[in-house]
Amino acid sequence: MDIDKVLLFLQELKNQGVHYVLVGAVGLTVHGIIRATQDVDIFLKPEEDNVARMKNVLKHFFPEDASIDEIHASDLAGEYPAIRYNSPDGSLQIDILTRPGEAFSFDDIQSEDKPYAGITVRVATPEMLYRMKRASVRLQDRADAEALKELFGLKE
Amino acid sequence: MPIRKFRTLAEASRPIRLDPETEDFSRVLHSVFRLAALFAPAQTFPPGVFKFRSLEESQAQKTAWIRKTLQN
Repeated sequence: MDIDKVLLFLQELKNQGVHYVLVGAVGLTVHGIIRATQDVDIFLKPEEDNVARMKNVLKHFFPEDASIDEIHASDLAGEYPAIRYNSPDGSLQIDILTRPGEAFSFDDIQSEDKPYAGITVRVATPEMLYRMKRASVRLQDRADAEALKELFGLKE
Repeated sequence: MPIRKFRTLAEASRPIRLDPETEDFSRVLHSVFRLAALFAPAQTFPPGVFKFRSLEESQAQKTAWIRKTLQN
């Protein structure tokens, strides 16, 4: 994954007015906890026009990639709440999420606008990231949760 | 980044937080991702759109792609 492409992607989400919240490891970096990751995780409001704006962002960077048209709001709102996009050149991998598990939906996500390497991004709060990471069974997520808890003085 | 000294390994392993509004942050961010790219080839993940019924299913597929890359 190309971090410069990630920054441009996040900037374009803002430019196109996409309703999203950055979560996952890139979300951690926005709060100052830097670790490498191979993908960008975003929560997306699964409404038709919002998903269309998101697809426009992807087409902005990869205009020749017809696979982008396979992303449908009806899938994200229905049977497929997790859609992954891998760009043709390997520079961008995005997990587009609408309701990972039963615990959270888009409107439940506490988020804030934060400066990030010269741009402004919409990111889940440290408390929200902690709750999401804590609920995961993956060891890396548990380690991320511990880092958030320690650095932000979060309670159980 | 200045030299940092620790009394124990546990102390050195504690997470650190950088201020995202500093130049240092951007430099470290780019360094970490450049280094990671050396170990994770771009072709690890097949291009395209992939749909999953759950986050767990998505993560399992990602693990399978990584495993396949490591075997080749």
